[in-house]
Amino acid sequence: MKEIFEAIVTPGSIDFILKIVIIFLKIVVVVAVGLLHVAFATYFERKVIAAMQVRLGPREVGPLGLFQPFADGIKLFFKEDIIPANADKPIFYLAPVIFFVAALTSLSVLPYFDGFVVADINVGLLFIFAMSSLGAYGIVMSGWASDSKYAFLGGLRSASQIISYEIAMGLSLVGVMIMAGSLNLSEIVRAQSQYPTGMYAIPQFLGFFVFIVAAFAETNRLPFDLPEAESELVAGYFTEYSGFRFAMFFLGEYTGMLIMSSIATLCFLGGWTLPKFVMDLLPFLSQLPPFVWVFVFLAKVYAFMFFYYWVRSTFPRYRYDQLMAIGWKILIPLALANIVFTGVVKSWFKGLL
Amino acid sequence: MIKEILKNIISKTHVIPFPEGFRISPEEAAKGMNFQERIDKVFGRSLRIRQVDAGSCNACEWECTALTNPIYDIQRFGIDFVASPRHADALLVTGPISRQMELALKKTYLATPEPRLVIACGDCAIDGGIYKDSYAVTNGVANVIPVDCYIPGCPPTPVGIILGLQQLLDKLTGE
Amino acid sequence: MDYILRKAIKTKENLNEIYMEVSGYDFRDSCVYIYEKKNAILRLMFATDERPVDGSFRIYTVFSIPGDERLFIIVLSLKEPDMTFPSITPYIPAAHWYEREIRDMFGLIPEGHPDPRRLVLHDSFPAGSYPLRKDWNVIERDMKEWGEGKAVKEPYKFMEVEGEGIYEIPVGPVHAGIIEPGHFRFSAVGETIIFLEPRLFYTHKGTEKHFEKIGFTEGVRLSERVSGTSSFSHSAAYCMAVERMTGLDITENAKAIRTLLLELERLYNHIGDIGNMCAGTGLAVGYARGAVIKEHLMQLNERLTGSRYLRGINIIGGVRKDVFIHRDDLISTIDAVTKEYKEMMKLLLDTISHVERLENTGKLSNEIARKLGVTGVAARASGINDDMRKAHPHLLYGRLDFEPHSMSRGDVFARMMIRAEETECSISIVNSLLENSYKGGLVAEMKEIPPYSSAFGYTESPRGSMFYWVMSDENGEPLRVKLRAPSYCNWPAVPFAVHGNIVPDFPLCNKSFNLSYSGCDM
Repeated sequence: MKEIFEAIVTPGSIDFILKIVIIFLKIVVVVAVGLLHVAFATYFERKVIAAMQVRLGPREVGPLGLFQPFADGIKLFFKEDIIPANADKPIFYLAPVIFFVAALTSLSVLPYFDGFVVADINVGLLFIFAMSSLGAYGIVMSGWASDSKYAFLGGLRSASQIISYEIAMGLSLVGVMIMAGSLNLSEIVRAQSQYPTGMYAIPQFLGFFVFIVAAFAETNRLPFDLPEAESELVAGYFTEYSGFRFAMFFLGEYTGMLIMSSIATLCFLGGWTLPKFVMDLLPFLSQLPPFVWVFVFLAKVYAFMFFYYWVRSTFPRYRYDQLMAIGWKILIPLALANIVFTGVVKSWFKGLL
Repeated sequence: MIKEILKNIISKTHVIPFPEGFRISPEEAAKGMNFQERIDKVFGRSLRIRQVDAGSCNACEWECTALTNPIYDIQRFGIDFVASPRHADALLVTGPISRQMELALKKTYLATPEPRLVIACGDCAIDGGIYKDSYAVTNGVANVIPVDCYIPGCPPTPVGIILGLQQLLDKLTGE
Repeated sequence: MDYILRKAIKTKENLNEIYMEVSGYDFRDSCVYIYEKKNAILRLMFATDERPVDGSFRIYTVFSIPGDERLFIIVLSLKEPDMTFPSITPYIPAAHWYEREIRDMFGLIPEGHPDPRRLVLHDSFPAGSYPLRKDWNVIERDMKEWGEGKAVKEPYKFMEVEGEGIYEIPVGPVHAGIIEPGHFRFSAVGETIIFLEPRLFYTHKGTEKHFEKIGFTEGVRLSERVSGTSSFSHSAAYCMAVERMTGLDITENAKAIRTLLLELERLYNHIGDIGNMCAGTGLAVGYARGAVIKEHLMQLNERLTGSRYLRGINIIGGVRKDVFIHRDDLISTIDAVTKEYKEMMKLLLDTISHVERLENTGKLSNEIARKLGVTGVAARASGINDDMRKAHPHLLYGRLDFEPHSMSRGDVFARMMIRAEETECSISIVNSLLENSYKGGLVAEMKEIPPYSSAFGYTESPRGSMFYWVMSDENGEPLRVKLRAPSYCNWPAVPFAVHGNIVPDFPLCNKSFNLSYSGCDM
């Protein structure tokens, strides 16, 4: 017995167990904070859109209406669980889970401040692309399993939209990868803090523009929300879902928005850092503990989310053929041009950049 | 367009005021429109309504649509209109229930997950209204599906619909 | 016209209505003659059960000739047991729904009609039972079966499109959003609509039979509730019919009030529709603005008449309230609305992505519009310059100076711009009406209703031309009331407008027509 005990509990293994516990705690924190953000994202969206339509939006439930999302969520939890009679049951159950899980998993590679990442892998960006592709599976499965023509059409439309814009999104980020020299998200942010302008958005404005448009299309948001728009022949691929499963789709969509905003912040807006010239101007900033920088990160993410809501309340919807034309015929050539240009400039000024 | 948006954000949040002579009973005016406190026991302050037209002349529909405009804005009470009956908590039925819509109404009722409510909106939905005893009409929603609340009027004004919903919630919370 | 008059058995003239009764196949020949040679528009076609009068059924076909203020009615009488009449649909496609309705409601069979399916009554209504006949009685068990929808008495077969990759999408009757019920069956290849078949009459309430039950006076209230957003136009047309039947001419003041309120109704409908089209493209800002302006107008309606939909103000013989005492309120509100409306239009036309979605979508060609007898905004947007206010001047329209607008594009953008131009036209009509004062009281003395007399009432509602025809029996009670709302003419044209567009554009096309399901279904 004693030998087995000594073989298992070595100093190395205690370290190992400690590491696992820390990762577990990080996961809990990230998921909890992520879901909280998502709940309030729905609230802020309704308020911002209402303000832009000269209305007030939710204001009565709780102080300033802040408990509205919890009210919605709790109500959905207690609703009867209806499953269409001819639905393909295993796929019906699995579809919202896949969608939600794919979105949540992407949260694990995002660094919120220096040193805090659940999984610091060297192919962070690639991992996120892979997870968003999995999300498309969830949509098609839900459309198929619902045994309803509208849901099926909505699912197909949505999936083809996501697949088309994934390419543009990936290509737009290649410019960033060339400039930073790495796929690791923490490395990209550190490279930006060394860069003169502090954010890659300034030299990579073309890439940034393509990324923004692709991000809107990936998350099925206006002006690209044709598959799930309410006035277009029922609610799209989640028509047949009720209660908590419907809530999972909803949460998955907002988590997707959160992830896109985070990637934009990390890759184009400098992540949790402020530009070098600001740090030089105010030297006391470098004395701050690393935890404080998470607020810079959050501020940038919220600014991007506000931009999501702003665009939603301003622009009309694109028709399906216009949508496809933009994805394939405009964004991909632009992103490719951006890559070529970045590559040429980088190899020309090998030492300077 | 940009100017409009900036104007709405920068200027102080203002709500288009309710009109003068807005008919509200003195008791309600004294209490204030605080019935959102009562939307809690059953629905946790969140009511999603699916509106079903079962033969109405469409005046009641336009009044329901008016509820979502910036002047009445029922979204601030946590009430929303939804597209799919599976996402709904309440059915708001208008019209005298023409016989050719009976089956569709029943199916919509069955597709709504429990707990669910049915609100009969308008004189026609109560007992057939002006169309009472016409051959193609079933004289009211109660003859087809069970009803929880009646809102009279031809058509009921948006304020009337809000007050009717308020009374429904009073009934649900036992006041 | 001599061609027809030579064949006519009997003619009658009443105000501007000219009835010409013919027999047998002369019916088809006369109708085709007037349609082709005189370029006439088919306004209305209906049947009556006049067996209490002289033992026969009668079919009336109403035409109007551009440039002529009179209505030409060709009448055919049928006696049992011969219950068929020659169908005019192969020559005049606009008659297709009228003849099917006659068959459903009266049992008079149009010979040679290409579509033998039921129109108004759905599958589980008992066969061989014709509701508008005088000897029809309600059998409870049949009505219950009709409502349950399980027993199929006469199946309705949708037209099937065959081909590779054709996907049939059924939508309705309960639609997404707050909208009336109707069934649409799309046949689409990918996203493009190859064929659409609408099936309506889900909100059929048996209005025409109900009119006969409740009498002429109560009938005003019933006419207002056929279609909510054109309540005032319906009651104005109905009152006009009954007044003309008794030979009554209402006072100038009442005419002015009716004209003013008709234009106010047109205003709130058109502005609301322009705002609604923004909901179809997802432009939330435009939709919210349109809704606010419409709300201001509805509140004005309530201040003027006590009802947001202008209900309860028309009575037979005139109007109930004097709207002109609120002159100042009217002027200030209309000025405020004009300013807000101009801002909204500027916003919409500056948003290029919105305009791009409207242009070249939902094109309705001039030829199809003419053949199907399309009326109102949809017709004027496709190049048919037809407006009841000019074609058959009534109330004070003969005195006012305005021009109906038309565009030839026929797409959604044209329908929006026609509404915009008509809004400005209505605003100027309202302003010019408010400048003058009018003689006479509110109500003229009602005369007694003579037995077996009939007359037409008509007006231009916001959606298009509207007709009522009333006939009294020997006690002065209604023998037959026929109403035709403009949506009835325009629904058959919608499939032609959406052909070739993608399925998500269908709600936008639908909103651009903005047809009333209840007005069509009666």
